[in-house]
Amino acid sequence: MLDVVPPAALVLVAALLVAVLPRKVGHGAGALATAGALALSWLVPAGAHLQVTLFGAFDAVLYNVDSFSRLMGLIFSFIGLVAVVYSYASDAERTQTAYALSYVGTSLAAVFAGDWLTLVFFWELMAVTSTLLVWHYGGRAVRAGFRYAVLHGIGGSLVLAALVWHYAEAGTFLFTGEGIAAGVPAVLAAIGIGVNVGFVGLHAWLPDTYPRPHIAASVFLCVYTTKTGVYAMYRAFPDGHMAIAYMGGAMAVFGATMALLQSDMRRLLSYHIQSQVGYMIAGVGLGTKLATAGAFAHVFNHILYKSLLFMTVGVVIYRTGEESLKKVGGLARDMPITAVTFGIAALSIGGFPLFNGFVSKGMVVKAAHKEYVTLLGFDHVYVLWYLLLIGGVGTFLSFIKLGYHAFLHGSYDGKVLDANRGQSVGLVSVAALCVLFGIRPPALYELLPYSDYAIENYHAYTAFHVGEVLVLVAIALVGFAVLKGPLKKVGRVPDIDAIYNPIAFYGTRGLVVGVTELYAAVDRAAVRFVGIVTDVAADPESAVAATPLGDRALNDEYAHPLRAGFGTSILLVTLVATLVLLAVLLG
Amino acid sequence: MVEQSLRPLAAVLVSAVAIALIVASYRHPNVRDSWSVAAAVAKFGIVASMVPGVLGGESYRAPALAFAPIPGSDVTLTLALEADALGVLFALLASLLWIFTSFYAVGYMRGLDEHAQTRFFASFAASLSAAVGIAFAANLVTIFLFYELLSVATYPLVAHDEDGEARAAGRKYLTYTFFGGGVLVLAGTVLVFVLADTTTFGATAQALGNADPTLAKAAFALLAAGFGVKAGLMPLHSWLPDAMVAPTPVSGLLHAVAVVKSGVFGIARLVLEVYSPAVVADLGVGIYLAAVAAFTLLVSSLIALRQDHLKRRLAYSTVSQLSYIVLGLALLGPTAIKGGLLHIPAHAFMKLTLFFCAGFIHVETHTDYISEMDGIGKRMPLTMAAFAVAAAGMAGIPLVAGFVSKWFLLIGAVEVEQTIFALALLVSGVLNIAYFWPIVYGAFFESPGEADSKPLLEGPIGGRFGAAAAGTSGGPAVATDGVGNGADGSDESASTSDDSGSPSTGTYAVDRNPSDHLSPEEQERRRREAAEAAEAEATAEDESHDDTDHHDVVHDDHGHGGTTGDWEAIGWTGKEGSWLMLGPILAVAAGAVVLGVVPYQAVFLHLIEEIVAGVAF
Repeated sequence: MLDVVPPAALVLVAALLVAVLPRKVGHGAGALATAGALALSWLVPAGAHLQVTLFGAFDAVLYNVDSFSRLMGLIFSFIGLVAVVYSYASDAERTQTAYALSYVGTSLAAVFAGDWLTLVFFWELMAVTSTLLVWHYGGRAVRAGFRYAVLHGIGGSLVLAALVWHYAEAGTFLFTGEGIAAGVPAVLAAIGIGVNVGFVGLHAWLPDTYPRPHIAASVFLCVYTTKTGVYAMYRAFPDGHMAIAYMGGAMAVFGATMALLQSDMRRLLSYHIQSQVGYMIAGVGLGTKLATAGAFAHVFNHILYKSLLFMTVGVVIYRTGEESLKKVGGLARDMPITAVTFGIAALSIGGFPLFNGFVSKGMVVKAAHKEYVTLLGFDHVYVLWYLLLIGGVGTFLSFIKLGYHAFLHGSYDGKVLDANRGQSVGLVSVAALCVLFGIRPPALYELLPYSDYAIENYHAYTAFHVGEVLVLVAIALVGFAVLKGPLKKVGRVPDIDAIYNPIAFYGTRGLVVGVTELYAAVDRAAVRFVGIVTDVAADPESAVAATPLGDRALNDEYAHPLRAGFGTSILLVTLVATLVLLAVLLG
Repeated sequence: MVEQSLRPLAAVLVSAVAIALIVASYRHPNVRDSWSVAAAVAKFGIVASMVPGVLGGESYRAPALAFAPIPGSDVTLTLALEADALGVLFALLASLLWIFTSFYAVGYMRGLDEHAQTRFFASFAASLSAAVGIAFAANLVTIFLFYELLSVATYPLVAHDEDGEARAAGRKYLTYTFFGGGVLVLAGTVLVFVLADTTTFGATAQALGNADPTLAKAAFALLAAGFGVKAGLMPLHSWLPDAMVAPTPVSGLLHAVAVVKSGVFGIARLVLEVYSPAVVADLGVGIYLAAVAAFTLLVSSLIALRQDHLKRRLAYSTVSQLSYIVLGLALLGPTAIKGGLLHIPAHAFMKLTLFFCAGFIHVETHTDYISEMDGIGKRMPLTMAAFAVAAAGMAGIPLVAGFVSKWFLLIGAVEVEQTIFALALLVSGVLNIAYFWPIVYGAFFESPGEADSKPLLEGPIGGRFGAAAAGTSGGPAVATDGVGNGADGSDESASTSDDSGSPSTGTYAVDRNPSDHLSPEEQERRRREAAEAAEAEATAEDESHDDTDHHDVVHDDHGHGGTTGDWEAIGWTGKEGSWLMLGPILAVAAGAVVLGVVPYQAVFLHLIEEIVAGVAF
C-alpha cells in the first residue's frame, strides 16, 4: 500500500487545495500533505515501484526508492512543511503557497524518478512552477522571472540534448548506475545541470531572482532547484569527474567572495547558495564513497541551515521593511529569537564544531584532501582542498559581516517586534536540528547513502578537523576586522550578467530587426518586380518608349508594332509550343 | 486488406450535403447553426468508425471514378478515395476539431453580430469537405483536385470582411495557393505520371526509384514546393500572416488545422507514399527539404518576436511549428517521422486553443494588440489560463502535447546522425518561451500602466525597471509586514504620476473598449463618471503632493464607479463571456493536455505507429 502513492502526489493535490480553500484550512492541508510526504519517504521500502511505458515507447520508472532518493525525499518534505508554516505566519497569499507547493511536488517527483525521461519531465515542470512563484510577487520580480525562465529554458534544452544523445548510445533512459554516456552527452549534461546548480558563469540568475519575491517564496526557492541539480549531477556522474570537482571548488570561492561584497541581505545569501553547492558538487565530482556521502550529507544540512538563514533574514525584512544591511542594525536586542537562530545558522554554514555543517563539510574536505596535482613545479599541491578551505574563510567572513551589521552593530530607528509565533516555530525547530546533527553525527550518517561506510570510517571530531576550522575562524575574524571599513564603501558589484544580458538583448534585437527588414525589403522588391512585369505586359509600347532608343523604334515607320491581332497571336503561340514539344521529344 | 466501403465518400459528402441545408435554413439561425454541428458530429462519427479497422491494418476504399480525358489513348485519370491510417489521422483530427469550432464560430459570429453568416457557415462546411477529401485521396490527381477545391472554398472565409484589406488578403491567398501551389502540384503530378504510369499512392515508389534521377528530383521539388505553399515553408509563406484578417474561427480551424495541415499532409504523402523514405534517401533530396524546414523554423520565430498584433504573432508561430512537421518527415528516420506526424495533432490542439483565446479576447474586449493586454488575466482568467497552458506546450513543456512530439523529433534527429537539426529545434523552443511567455506574465502579473512595454525587444533593456540597477542593493523599500504586490518605491512614482493614462483619455485598451457586456448607456455613464473623477483628481494633485496617491494607477473601483485604467476583475467561474466560446477553449486545451500525457491511448500515437510500421525505409 505504501509503495503506490508517491509523496509527490500528496503535495501536488495539496497545491490545488491551497488555491481554493480558505487560507488557514488550505495551509493546514499543505502542512498535512508535506508531513505525509515526510512519513512516506521514511517508511516506504526501497525498490522500483511504478514501472510504466511512457508515450508508448519508453520504459520508465515513475517512483523509485533508493538511499539517494529517500534522503532527498525526507529533507525536501521536511523543509516543505516548515516553509508552509512560515508562509502562513508571514502573510503569504494562498495562491503563492499553491505555486510553492506545486514546486515542492514537482521537485519530489523529480528526485523519486527512476529514469531520465521522468526526471527531465519534472525538471521542466519545476522550472515552470518556480517561475510562477517568482512572478506572483509582481513588480521587479516579473522581469527577473522572465530572465530566469529563459535561462532555465536554455539549461533544460542542454539537458534534453544530452539525454537524447545518451539514448542514441545507451538505448534506454533507465538509470543503469553508469551515468550519462561519455563524450558529448556528458559535457552537455554537465553544462545543462550546471545551470541549475550555479556553475561559475552560469550562476547569475541566483542573485538576480531569489531576492525578488516574497520572503516566504525565497525560502522555498533556495532549496529545491539547486539541490535537485546536485542529485541529478550524481545520477549523471555516479563515479564523479575531476573537472566537476574543480568547478565545485571554484564555485565555493567565487560564491563566497561575491557574497562578501553584497549589502542586500538576500542577495548575499543567494551567492552563498552557489558557494555551498560548490561543496556538494565537489563531493559529487570526487566520486569516492566518502565524498559522495559527504556531498549528500551537505545537501541535507545545507537545506536546513540555508532555509533557516532565509527565514531569519525574512523576519528582519518582514519587521523592518528593509532589504539592505546599510539600513538595519542592532536588532539583536529587539529580536532575540531571530538573532540566536541566525547565529546558529551562521555557525552551521561556516562549519563550526558542534553544528551540522562541520560534519558534512568535513567529509567533503577530507575527501578533497586526497586529490593533488603538480602545479608550477610544485608536487602535491592540494588545489581542491585549498579552494574549499578558502571558501570556508569567505563563508565565515560574510556571515560575520551579515550578523554584525544586522544584529550587533548600529541601531535601527523604530520599534521592531521579534518573529511571530508561527515563524518562531519554524526557526527554532530547524535550528534545533542543526544543533542535533552537529552534536550527534551518527544520527545523520544513518540517513545517508553508504551509511555503513560513513559510520565505520568517518570520525568528525578529530583534533585535526577541529583545529582546521578554528584556524579558518581566526583568519576570518582578523580579516573582518581589517576589511570592515573598505567593505562598507563597496557599492553595487556587477556580475557576469552585466555582460551577457545586454549582449543577448541587443543582439536579439539586431537579429530580429535585421531579419524582418530584410524580409520586408525582399517582399517590396518582389511586389515591385511583379508590378513592372504586369505593366510591361499590359502596355508594352510605353515600356519600350521608356528605353533610350525606344522613341526611334516606335516612330520609325518600318518598325514592327508590338501588338498583334488575335489570329497572329494564336499562330505565334502554336509555333512556340510546337518548337518546345519538338525539343523535348527529340532531346 | 482493402475493404470496399462507402464510408470515405460519405465522410466527404456529409458536409457537402450540409451546405445545402445550411443555405436552405438561412432564415432560422439556430436551425442553420445546428446543421453545422450535426454535420461535424456525423463526419467525426463516420471517420471514427473506421479507426479500429485502420489500426488493424485495413483500409477502406470507396468506388472510384475513372475517365479517359484523351480520346484514342489509354491514359485514364482516376478519382479515388481510400481511407488508410495516414488519411484517418488527418480526417479524425479535422472532424473532431470542427465540432468544437462550430460551437465557437456560432458564439463568435453572434458575439460580433457579423454579416453574411450563412455564407460563412456554408463555406466552412465546404472547406471541411475538401479537407477530408484531401485526407482520403488515393492518388495525386484526387489530392490535387481537392487541394484546389479547398482554396476555392476558403476564399469567401478569408475575404469575409469584404473591406479592402480582406480582399487584398484574399487575392494574395488565391495567388499563392491556387496559382502557385496548385500549378506546382499539377506539374509534379504530371511528371510523376509520366515517370510511373500511375499516380496512386504507394504504387509509384519503385518506378520513381528506377527513373532518371534528375526527373525524379524535379518531380519531388515541384510537389514539395506545391504542398509547401500551404505548409508555410519559407519563402512561400507570406499568405499566412495576411490571412489573419479573417474571422478567428477561420484563422483557427482553417489556418491552424485544416488548410496548413493539408499542406504538411501532402508532404507526408509525398515522402511516405509517393516516394517512400528509402527512395528519398537515395535521391538525396531529404536534406534540402530539412534545411528549408529548419530555416523556416528559426526565421519565423525571430519574426514573431517583433509582432505586436496577437494573431500575427500566432501566424508566424504557426509557420514555425509547421516546419517541425516537415523537418520530422524530411529526416526520414522512423522516430523522426513519428515525431513529425505526432506534431500534426499536437500543434493543432495547442494552436487552436491559442487562436480561440485570441478571438474570445477580441469579442469580449476588442483588444488585438499584445501591448494592450497587460492585466487582462483579471478580466478573462480562464481564457488566459488556457492560453498559458497552450503556450507552455508550444515551448515543449511536459504535460502538454508539444513535449511529446518534440521529444520524438529530437531523438529522431540524433538517430539519423543529423544533430544540427536537434539544435535548431531546441533554439526554437527557447525562442517560443521568449515570444509567448511575456503575453502570459503580462496578462496575470502586470497591470496597464505598470507593465513592461511589449513586444519586449521594442522597449528598453530590463523593461520598466531597466533604468534602475538590476540589483536590489539600496533599492526601493519593501512594504512592512510581508505582503506586497511589488509596491513601487517612491522613486518609481515620479514616472507614473505624469503618466497620461488618465481614464478619460483612454490610453488603455480597457478604457477604449469596455466589454460588450455593458449596454451603451452603461458604458456612457461609466465614461462620464471616470472623466469627472479624473478632473477632480487633477485639481487635487495640484494642491497636495502626497506620495501615497501616486503608486496606485490601479484605484479602488468602488470609489470612482467607472473604468479607471485597469481591467474589471471577473472570478474563475466562467462569467468572462459566452460559454459557446469558453467551452470549446477549455475542451481543446484539455485535449492538448490529454495528448501530452497519454498520446498512445488517445489514439493518435497508435495511428502513427501503424503508419510508420507500413513504410519502407
